[in-house]
Amino acid sequence: MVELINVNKSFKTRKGMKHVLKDISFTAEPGEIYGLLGPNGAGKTTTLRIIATLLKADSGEVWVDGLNAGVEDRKIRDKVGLLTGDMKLSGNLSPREMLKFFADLNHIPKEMSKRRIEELSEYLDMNEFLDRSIAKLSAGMKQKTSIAVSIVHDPEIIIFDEPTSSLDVLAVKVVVDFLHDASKRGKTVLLSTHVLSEAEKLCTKIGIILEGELIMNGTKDEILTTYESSSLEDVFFALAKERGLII
Amino acid sequence: MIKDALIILRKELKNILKDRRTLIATLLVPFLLMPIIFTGMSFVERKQRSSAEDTIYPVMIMHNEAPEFLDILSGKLNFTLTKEPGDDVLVVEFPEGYIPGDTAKAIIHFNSTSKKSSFAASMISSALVEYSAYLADSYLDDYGIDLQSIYTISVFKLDTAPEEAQGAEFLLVMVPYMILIYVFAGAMAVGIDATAGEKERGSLAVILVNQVSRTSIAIGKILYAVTVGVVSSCMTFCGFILAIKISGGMFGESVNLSGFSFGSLLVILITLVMTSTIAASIIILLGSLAKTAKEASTYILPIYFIVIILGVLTMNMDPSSNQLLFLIPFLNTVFMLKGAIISNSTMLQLVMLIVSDTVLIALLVYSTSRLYNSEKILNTIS
Ligand SMILES: Nc1ncnc2c1ncn2[C@@H]1O[C@H](COP(=O)(O)OP(=O)(O)O)[C@@H](O)[C@H]1O
Ligand SMILES: [Mg+2]
Repeated sequence: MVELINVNKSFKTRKGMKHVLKDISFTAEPGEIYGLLGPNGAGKTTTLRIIATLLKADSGEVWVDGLNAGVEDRKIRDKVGLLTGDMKLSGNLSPREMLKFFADLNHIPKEMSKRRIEELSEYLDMNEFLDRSIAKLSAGMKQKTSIAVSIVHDPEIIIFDEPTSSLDVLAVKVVVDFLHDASKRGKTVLLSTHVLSEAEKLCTKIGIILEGELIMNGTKDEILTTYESSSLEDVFFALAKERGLII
Repeated sequence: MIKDALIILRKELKNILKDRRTLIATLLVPFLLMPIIFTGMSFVERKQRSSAEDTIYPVMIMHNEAPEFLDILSGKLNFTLTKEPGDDVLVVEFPEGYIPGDTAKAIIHFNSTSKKSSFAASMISSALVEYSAYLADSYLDDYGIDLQSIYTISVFKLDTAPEEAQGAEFLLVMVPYMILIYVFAGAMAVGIDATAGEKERGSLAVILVNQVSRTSIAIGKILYAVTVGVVSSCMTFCGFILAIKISGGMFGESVNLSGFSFGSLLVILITLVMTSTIAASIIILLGSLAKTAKEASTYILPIYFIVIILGVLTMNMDPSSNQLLFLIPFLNTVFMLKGAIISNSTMLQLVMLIVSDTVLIALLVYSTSRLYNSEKILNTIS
């Protein structure tokens, strides 16, 4: 489970402090796929990085599987698997070698990491290309490898930042299938997207984030009832218009 | 910490060992570059010299018909006598009405832009000196004196430089700079990719979410760039040794390779490791500050150039007059390598180099580690 309570974050910029996250609060439970939906620059990546302990919140509380972010970061890192859409695996190592590397980074003992790699390869159907050079893999194969890398330590919380933004349709299916399966296995899945249809199809719970504020948070049905609307798209654009983001 | 850093190093090395292009650029090119240049240079040089020696030169001699001079000249130069001046004719002009034995000035007309003409002129000049000695000798003969008894002092030059240093002048000038260049080039080829390149590929964030401390990650990356820098520069050095071996006498027979004592080699190796570590640390630090590989190279290149220019400007400086120069990183590399090649480096110099370089390395590693532990490392948005 992931819980954020009144999280604030500012960045120092040349023009002074920039308040990027404003009192963000939400909860994502095991078995849920929580989607942060918002345009570019809304604060999605910053939110996910705070949960993954890459950034520290200025104020507020962040709890990851009962661990307090900012206090028990190393333990949290054992619980979260992070994947970003702009990550491009490259180089001459094979998926097996890459997985071994990340297993080492996670301090997984040798025997166990060997077993885990076999298991992941089976689970994501990677056997055929496990020992081929990554540079020679197709987009779908690379995507499977990226996913495997992010969950090599079998994390309870899976954080995917715009995982499909730069993928072709076949590779998108790999991600979507994986996320569905992970939530079925009781993992807590958090993902960000700026694609409305993706959030609508994939997520069980949605948080709409605009200019660092979480202005809507709930299941799709809850959101539609609140706004007396029939599509998420209408709600989203109505909210954006309200804030003067669309003329 | 070091154990975790080695995870990074091992992975990067494994990757580079499968990358033929980088291997060629960091190992093969530095190794072969000097041998190829040397072979080319000595080939051209030999070719020019033999063609200069084989040519038959048209020579016109004015106001002197004496056969003795022709005799002497033909011992030095292939020539034919001509009566007409022309473009490629060398003219030896004695004063009008010259009689052998007169005090006179002989003028050689030649074309200094032509290698062959210059060669012929120097041969004629030495023939004239010999001819003059011959005339003096025969003049003195009338008085029962010979020339040897007038020239009471004869001159021999005896080289007092250590045996290893003799003829190594060319090496002395070139080697340290080439090595410095490859220390940087090697570390730069992989250092930028491991830092700014990683940001561009979007994999930095993922690398930072695990059980390994960020300091270890920073050190692992530095170790990687150091390794490649050291190997690259060692290959350059080995290339030089090979170059001298195959180009033979070009730099004088006395460039004595077996003369590199174990001590000199050790000094060279220590210097390479220290210098590579500084270069690698600078590159990793600046590369991590940059958002893209392009930005990283705009940060690093100026430093690279300053180092090279500083080295060249101090080319003729004699560090033995001011030992404090060994406290200046990079400059001390050049002086130390020069010293090691001619076997006159001292323990004090080596210690000064190690101490000052270590201080700088510590500062750089500390700054890099600080950067990796701060949120700034994730500044990927331009
Ligand atoms: N390190 C940083 N320094 C300054 N501003 C930043 C930094 N990181 C993000 N921002 C700013 O914070 C805002 C939110 O960024 P981000 O979380 O990446 O948005 P999203 O992922 O929703 O596109 C943007 O306006 C961005 O420019
Ligand atoms: Mg983002």
